[in-house]
Amino acid sequence: MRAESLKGHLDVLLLAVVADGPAHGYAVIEELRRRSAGAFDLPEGTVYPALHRLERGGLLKSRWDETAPRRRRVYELTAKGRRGLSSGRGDWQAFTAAVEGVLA
Amino acid sequence: MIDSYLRRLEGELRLPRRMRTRVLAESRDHLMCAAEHDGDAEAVARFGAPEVVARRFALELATARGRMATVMTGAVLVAISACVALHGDSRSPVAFVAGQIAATCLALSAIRMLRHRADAAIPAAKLRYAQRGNAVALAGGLTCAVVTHVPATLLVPAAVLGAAAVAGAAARTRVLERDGAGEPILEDVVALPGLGRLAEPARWAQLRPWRFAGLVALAAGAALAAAHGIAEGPPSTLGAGLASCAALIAIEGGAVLASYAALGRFLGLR
Repeated sequence: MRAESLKGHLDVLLLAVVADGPAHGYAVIEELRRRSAGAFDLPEGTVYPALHRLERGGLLKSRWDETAPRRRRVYELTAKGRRGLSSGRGDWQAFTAAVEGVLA
Repeated sequence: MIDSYLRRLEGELRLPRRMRTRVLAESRDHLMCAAEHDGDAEAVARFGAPEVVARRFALELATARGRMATVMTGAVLVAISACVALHGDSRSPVAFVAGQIAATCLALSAIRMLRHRADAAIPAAKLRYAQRGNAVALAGGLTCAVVTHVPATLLVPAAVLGAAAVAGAAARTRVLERDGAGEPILEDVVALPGLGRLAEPARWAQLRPWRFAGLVALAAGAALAAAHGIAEGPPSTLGAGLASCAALIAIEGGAVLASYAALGRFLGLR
C-alpha cells in the first residue's frame, strides 16, 4: 500500500499504537508494520514529523529515556490524545460502514 | 553507513538548532535499532532519502508556524480594533483604508489556512502567500493603530508579538523549496464547507480577474455609500445625495482597484 493511501489516517494509527503504552519511534513504527502485516510502505523517517506534530497538538507527550543505551525519545498518549483516538476510531468505523454499504 | 546518512540528513535539515539535535538523535536511535535486525543498508533504505525526511519536517513545522502566525495576526487586529473603537480617532481616512487592507489580507490568509485545516502540511506556495497576507495585515493594523493614536502600552506589545509570529513563520517558510505557483484563492474559497455551489461563478472570476475586481470594487463602494447614508441621515436634496454616493463609490472603488493592482500578484490573487 502506497504512503499516499495513508494520508489522513496516519495520525490515528500512530495514536492507536502509542495507546498501548509509552514507546520510542522505532518501536512505534515496528508495531505499525506488525499490526498492518507490512502493508504500509512509507519511508520510516517520515513518521517522525507526524509524531512531532501530534506532540505539538498535545495528543502525545514525549521525554528522553536516559536508561536506554542511546539517547531515545519515548512517546506517550495524553488525555487529549485518548479523546482524539476515540473520535478517530468512530470516524473510521462510520467511513468503512458507508463504503461497505456501497460496495456490498 | 549510518554515520554517513546522518551527516547527509544533518546537511538537509532546515530546522531550529534544538529541534535539529532532537531529530538527529531520534534518527540515530531508529537507524541503530533497525540495523541490529536488518543491517545498515536496509535500515537506511527503509528510513527514506534524507531530503525527503528533511523536507517533511520543514513543511510540517512551517505549516504549524503559519497557522500560529495567522491566529496571532488575527488576535492583534482584534485588539487594535477594540482599542480604536474605544479610544482612537476612528474617522481618520488613513486608518479607514489601512484597516480595510488589514482585514482583507487577514481574511485571505485565514481562507488558505481553513482550506487545509485538516491537512498535516500546506503546500509551500500557499504558505508563502499566507505569510505575505499576514505581514500586510499586521502592517495595516499597526498603521491604523499609529494614526489613531492607540496608546503605546497596547501598540508596542501588539507590534512585538505580531511581528515575532509573522517573522518566525516567514523564516520557516523561506527554507522550503518552491513547489509551483499555488492554487488561485477562489479555489480555496469554493473548497470551504458549504461554498461548493460558488464553483461556477469562481471559474468565471478566475478567467476575468479584473472584471471580478471591478465588481468587488463597485460592491465595496456601494456598501460604503449605504453605510454613510444610514449614519448621516437623508441628504438635503436628491442631487446632493446622488453626488455624495457617486463620490464615495468612486473613492472606495478606486482604492479597492488600486490595492488589487498593487498587491494582487504579491498575495496570489491573480
